Amino acid sequence: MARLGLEVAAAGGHHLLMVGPPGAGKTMLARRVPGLLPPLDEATAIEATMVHSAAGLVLPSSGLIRQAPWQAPHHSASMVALVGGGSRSLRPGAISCAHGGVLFLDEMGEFAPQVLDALRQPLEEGVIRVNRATAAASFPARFLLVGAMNPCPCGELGQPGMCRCTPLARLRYARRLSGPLLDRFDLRIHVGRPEVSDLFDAPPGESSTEVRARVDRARAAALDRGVASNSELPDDALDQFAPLDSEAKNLFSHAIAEGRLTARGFQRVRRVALTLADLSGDAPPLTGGIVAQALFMRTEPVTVVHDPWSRANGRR
Amino acid sequence: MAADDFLGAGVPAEGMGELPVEAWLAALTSLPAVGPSRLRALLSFGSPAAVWASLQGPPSRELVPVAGKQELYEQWRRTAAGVDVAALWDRHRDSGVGVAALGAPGYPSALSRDLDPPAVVFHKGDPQVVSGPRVAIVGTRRCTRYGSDVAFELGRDLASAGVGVVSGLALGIDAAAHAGALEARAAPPIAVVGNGLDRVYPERNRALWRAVADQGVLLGEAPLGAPPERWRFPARNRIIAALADVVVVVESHASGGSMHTVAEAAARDRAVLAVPGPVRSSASDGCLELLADGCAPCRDADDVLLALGISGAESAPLDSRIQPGSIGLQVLEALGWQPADGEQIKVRTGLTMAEVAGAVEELRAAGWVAVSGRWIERVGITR
Repeated sequence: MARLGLEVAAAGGHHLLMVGPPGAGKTMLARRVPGLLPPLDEATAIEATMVHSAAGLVLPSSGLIRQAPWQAPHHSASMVALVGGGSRSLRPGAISCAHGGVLFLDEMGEFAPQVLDALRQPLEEGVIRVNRATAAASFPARFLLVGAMNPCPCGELGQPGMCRCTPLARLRYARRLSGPLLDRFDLRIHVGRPEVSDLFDAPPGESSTEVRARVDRARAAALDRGVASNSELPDDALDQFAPLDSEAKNLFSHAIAEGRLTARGFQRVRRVALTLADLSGDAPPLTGGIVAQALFMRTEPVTVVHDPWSRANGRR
Repeated sequence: MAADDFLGAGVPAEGMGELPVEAWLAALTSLPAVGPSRLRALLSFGSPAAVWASLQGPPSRELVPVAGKQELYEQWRRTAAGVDVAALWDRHRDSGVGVAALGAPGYPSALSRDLDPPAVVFHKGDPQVVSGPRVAIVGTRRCTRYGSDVAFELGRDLASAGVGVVSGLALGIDAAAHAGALEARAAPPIAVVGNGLDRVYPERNRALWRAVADQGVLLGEAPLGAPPERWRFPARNRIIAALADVVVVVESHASGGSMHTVAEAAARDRAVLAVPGPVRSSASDGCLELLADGCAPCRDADDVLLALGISGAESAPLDSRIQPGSIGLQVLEALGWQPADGEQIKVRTGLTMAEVAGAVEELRAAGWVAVSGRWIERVGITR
């Protein structure tokens, strides 16, 4: 599941949140994402090189950054370190150094809330504008956001009836990630409990090259649609490129009626489903099975105790 | 002295003679750390109004042992000097919260005969609904979907059979039991809360809180403004046990508030029933302990009605959910009645992750399973 998540994230440019206990290998998994991404195109390579040079980072010997960059700021990072700024000279932050590549935020729940919320605008626009009294600058900031967090404070993975955290403690923990930011994560994958099949009868793990080939195919399909990746498809293009069969429509209407999906969430899941179809080489329309997978890859990060009254009366 | 004696007892001068005894009781309960036992001890010194007057008068040695600590007694005196009892009383009347002293009309008769009756009861909604047979449905806040479903069904089916459902309006089992009772639109629900009736606690139950007040009654022994302090909840549990003819524990960890309610029920010779759960489920530890100790099992509302001496519950409605397909059935089978995650189901069934994901989403849409975080749980009720 986790591997599929990485593949879909890389293929479709969908932001990925991994939820799992410490030691589950979230960081190791995230580190594989840049290797799955295609090399930077000419314009992005130049932008990325400029940003890295402005930030004083070491440049590759060829002079131009071709490989997708990787940035993993610690959760104690300040707003300036993350989005850029500085009092004497304006410097690009981690999100701009990740331009064209991956921004990995480990322990997302531990970041200061206002630092996280500063990500929302660049996530939407791909650019960060930093204004100071003496100067202003724009830095490119188009990156794939990969986040990681624990499922709950106690580490019992929030298993109903087992987890020692009270419902309120779990809710409070869940709220550390604001709703609007959580909504940007199209993929929310639970990792942990070493995947048994991975440890033993490992179907000698597909090589990165094979996965890369599928990712490239999906990226090529997106290019045919006029975008670099499916996550950039505008809503109105979805009816054309991602039509739904009747079963898929049923699943969506149920998820929307249940309050699991908003109108925006619906379109986001649809883009993920399109990426899944591209990866497996399925032609449109999107089937119920594909949509079900996409929905399953977007679960709530934290377990919440069932509450029949609110459920029945339209509250979440 | 018996608590009834202070009804109509003299009120000190100061021109507040028209205030009812409930006003003085509300004032006394709003002093810091005054729960049922300290209140009872205070009232052994005289009428509520007299005790209040003595707190406002010169320091007296005799009330210090009630407080236990000199500082608390001083705190009471400072609070008493600053509280305007008439204004406090107006606030209660304006907020639509009823107050009844022990022995007064409006005081639930089920409580007046109790071992440890509250000296004063605050209520919102119609206190007359506390009549007829009553069952307390209690359990942990940290429940599983199984527990929540069973509590909901019991609440619904017992209310349909005309049994008043008593619970504590906490998250988890309590909330599910009340939700079920409300769904039946039959016998009105009764909620006993630990804090003042003007404060919704927990906040998440706001809508439920209002619905119970509208269709049934909220009861408590804390005055307006009382926060949900820890010590108030054991006292609340004794009222739940006192109001119920039978106590059903749906899910409880080895220790917790529900086990306390069970002890209070035992002290009152109330029948206690426990819902069996998986032996590996920590949320059922308390119930299994009770069953091992010889407590009767509760499988459905009929078991409870039998314990109440009422028979003839209607049979359960037919399952109207769409029958799952073959992969769906395989997943349901592998899931059983304990939470599992997608990986576990994949290993148990040998299906691919895509097949598991597809089946889970379809089962979810048809109401067979629920997903919360990474956990998938089977759903037993048909709604």
